[in-house]
Amino acid sequence: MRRWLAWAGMLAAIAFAVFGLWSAAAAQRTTPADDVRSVATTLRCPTCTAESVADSTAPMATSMRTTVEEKLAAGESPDEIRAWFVERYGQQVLLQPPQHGIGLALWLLPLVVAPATAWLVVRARGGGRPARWLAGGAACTIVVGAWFAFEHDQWGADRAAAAAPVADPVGALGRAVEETPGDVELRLALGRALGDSGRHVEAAEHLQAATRLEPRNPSALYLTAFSLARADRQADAEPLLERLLDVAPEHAEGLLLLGTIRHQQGDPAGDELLRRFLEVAPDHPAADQAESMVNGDERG
Amino acid sequence: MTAGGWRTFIPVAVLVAVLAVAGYVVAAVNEPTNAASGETAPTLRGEGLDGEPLDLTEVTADVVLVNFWASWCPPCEQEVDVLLEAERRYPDDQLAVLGVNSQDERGNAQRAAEEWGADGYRNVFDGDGHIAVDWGVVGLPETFVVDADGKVLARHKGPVTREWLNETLDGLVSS
Repeated sequence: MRRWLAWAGMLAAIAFAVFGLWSAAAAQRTTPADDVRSVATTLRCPTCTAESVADSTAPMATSMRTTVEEKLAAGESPDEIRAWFVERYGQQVLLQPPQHGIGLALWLLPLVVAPATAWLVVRARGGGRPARWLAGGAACTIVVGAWFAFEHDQWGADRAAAAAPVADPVGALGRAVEETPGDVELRLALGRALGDSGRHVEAAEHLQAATRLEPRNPSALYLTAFSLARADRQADAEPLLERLLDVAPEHAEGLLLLGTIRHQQGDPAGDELLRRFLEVAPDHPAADQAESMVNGDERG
Repeated sequence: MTAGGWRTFIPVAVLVAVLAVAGYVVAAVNEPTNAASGETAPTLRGEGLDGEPLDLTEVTADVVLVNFWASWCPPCEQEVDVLLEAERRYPDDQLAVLGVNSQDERGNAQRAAEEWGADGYRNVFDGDGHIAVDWGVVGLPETFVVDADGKVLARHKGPVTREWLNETLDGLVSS
């Protein structure tokens, strides 16, 4: 029985070793994008929480990936690139302990401790040759397994990326906005999605960023003003609506919203805006409500 | 191994493990060595937002505030007034502000610079963010104080405040 266990241990060790060598050989056949990802996976995104540069959509991570790509194209090795990043961001930029100095000691520790422990166990139990084979097989398995994990640590990151939620439109749009922060349409879509979720304060924040990017974009101006109004920030919404009506004087929703805000403040200019709204969009679903406000039916 | 042997082995093993972990933690929390106080500033050369070439080494002020910003970054707007105040308070040969518009689109950056007043000082365009990465910028905005020899004297993460700027510039430049 002991002999069978010893053989099983050795076979497991050999299987691990063969699999490791096969994986290492397969890793040589990579594309430039794979190479970038391979390095980026070992770097920590400085603006994120426990996320690699490969997986993060933050602008800083995007820039870091570009830098990795440029350096690989210039012929720098992954270790040289990691060292370059460590010079700029410190050791904390590495997701794995460094493979030199004290970091190397940390990597080697299990490789030393595992065989030593196996040897001590065998000695303590006073087992014969089968027990020594068994312990040796187990130790080899641990060593090869540890080496395999060392070489292929990025698999964990890949699994994490694969498990990321994809059915969350706000999250997906948020990541897309981080990826291309200057894209107004994405900002508007995120603002709409947040507004639809009732998160008007956050929606207003993204929509305000969109209006800064395109200060005369009617959609951006209206959606931002609407979100601000929903977040009880009518005073902030008014200048945007004024700008909107300057850009698009017949923007029905803009006339309605600014007219309503001013009407609620008791400003007669509000009724004038609502009359213009009724002229521009007499069949609008809110036309009856606007007419009531103008006629004073809703007050009291 | 005898019971006595185990009693010796286990504490030694624990000690080795603790030292290894502690060593790594100490190494991990080390500050970056580049673009940190006292280190030579990385190269800062590129095309300005106005299309003109710009180079940090050609700025002749005693102290240069290198400010990384983007048009999509609301806190970046907050600090523009503080930076402008600093630039106006000191003579040109004593202090200069050099913006680095990073991870942005040129048109958006130009519009934001105009609206916020950031066009009151020179700006390098760093669309893909490679200059920011070279400087070890963690997030926007971030500001570095660089002396005439190109040494980084201080850095500030987040929007610059009057208090921080006054305290930092005190002794470096005379108003």
